[in-house]
Amino acid sequence: MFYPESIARLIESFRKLPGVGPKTAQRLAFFVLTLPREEVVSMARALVDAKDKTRYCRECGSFSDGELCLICRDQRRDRSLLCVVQDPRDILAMERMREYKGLYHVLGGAISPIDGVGPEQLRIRELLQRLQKGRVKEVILATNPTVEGEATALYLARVIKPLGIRVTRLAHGLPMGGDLEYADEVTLSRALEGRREL
Amino acid sequence: MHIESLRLHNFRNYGRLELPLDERLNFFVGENAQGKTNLLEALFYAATGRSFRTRNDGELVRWGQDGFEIAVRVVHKRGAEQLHLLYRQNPKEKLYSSNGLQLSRSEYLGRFYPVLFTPEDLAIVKGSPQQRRKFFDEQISKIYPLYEAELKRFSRILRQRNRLLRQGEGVVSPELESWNEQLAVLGARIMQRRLFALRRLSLLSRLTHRRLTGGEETLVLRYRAAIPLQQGAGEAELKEGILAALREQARQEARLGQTLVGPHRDDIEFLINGKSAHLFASQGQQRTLVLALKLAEIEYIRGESGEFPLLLLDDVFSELDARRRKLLVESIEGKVQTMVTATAAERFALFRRSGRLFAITRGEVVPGEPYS
Repeated sequence: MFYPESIARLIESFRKLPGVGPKTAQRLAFFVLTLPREEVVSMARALVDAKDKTRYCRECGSFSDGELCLICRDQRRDRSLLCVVQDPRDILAMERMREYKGLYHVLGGAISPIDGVGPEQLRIRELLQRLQKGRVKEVILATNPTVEGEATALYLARVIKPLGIRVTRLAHGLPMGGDLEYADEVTLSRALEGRREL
Repeated sequence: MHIESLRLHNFRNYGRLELPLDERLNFFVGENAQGKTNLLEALFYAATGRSFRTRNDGELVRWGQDGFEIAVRVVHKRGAEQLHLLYRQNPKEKLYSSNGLQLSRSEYLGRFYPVLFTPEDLAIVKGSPQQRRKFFDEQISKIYPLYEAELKRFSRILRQRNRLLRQGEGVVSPELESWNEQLAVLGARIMQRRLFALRRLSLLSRLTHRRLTGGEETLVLRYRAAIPLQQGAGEAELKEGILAALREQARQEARLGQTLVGPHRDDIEFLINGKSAHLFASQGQQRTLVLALKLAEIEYIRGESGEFPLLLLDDVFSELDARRRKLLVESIEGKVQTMVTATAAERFALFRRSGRLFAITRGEVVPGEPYS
């Protein structure tokens, strides 16, 4: 298909987004053409603004609009609890449950030699600096249950424990409210392994 | 258990095919490259959701088509079941169903079990340790649906750890510790499952092997691991064993840039009258051994699943001499539903009981008269 150069470029741009294939990119591009000009300008502005104005929190490394993010600024949060996650999006998931009152630390990924990611590429030095201040009593490791997330958790446990801080790991198990018979085998076997005495 | 009929649509070189099958024996005869093995492949696929010839499902689609369908009617002790499998490339999807009810892959698997015997299996004795591990891993996968995922996770750990070892350029990295734990836990689990399956298969193949050799030879299967194996060691002991061996081999691993300890380095040894078959067995002894293993596999599946499997013999008769052909036929006749491919129809005469002959030419199947 032959498109004018400007449309072709727009389609190419959309294709760079995750989960967008050639057909969806095309649909999005043609949709943009039907929008009023102001709408398109504000959309473009929003993209640039998000990129320019979003910063990373000096403490936890999550997205922020200032020096410190909303959570790190919040004085009501329990400063003796620190939850370590791979990605800022994991914070959103944790916050949705409204149970956790401690602080966070974003690693920015997980150890993966294949991808050239070692401890130095993650925000581990920053984590240790935070812990050295002495206010944190417990670190909750909430990295993903993948091979890489597991390796990262084990690595962190090894470097944090000598500091005399309690280290815990999120449990793996059954989804609540679901029937046992619908659980997949891997989840079920993990839950069986992690069973506890009543 | 037996398959009552096979239906294909755009699978390999078949456009549309509807094949009523004999409860005992089905003989697919034709020249090379006519589509005999494709029929075994379809049956294997219906049971396992994958081919034994390729990992790429796209290769199974008939030229110029977008997807294929396989449908089989299985008769179990508890009743009949209509299985249906659909694969499409655009949009990509693979759908499994039983009696019209859509199922996930893991729910679908294990409806019936195939035992496949091809000329390549004859290389298992003299072949690489990898081939032998693969044989055992396949036996375990058939019975434990989780095993495939465990192997996959293990090989991921291995890849990561090997990369880390190579990056270390000869120096032992402190980061290795965080991979060792996972390697040992999952490695021990895999070894445990293999040892368990090996004990069963060892027992069964000793019996089948005795029968095949007229009681003259005794076959023993032995698991050879990179760590010392204590009698009756559980998963916890195996894990400690792996961790200890990793500590011992740390320097060597760093130098070679490779993980030297774990189930990926293990092997299975066949001993005939106490002597290693790998080193000493004659061509004839090797074939008898493989035959004994395959017959043991049939019994193993019956023991674990409660039903006889489906036996798929792909062109093995041409590889066996007259005596072993006769022994094979005697061992399976009347017990296991069998699908045989061969180039010459006369081999059919080996089977004394009833069966059905099919002539295959370029994707066309002409059923012959029921044979008795």
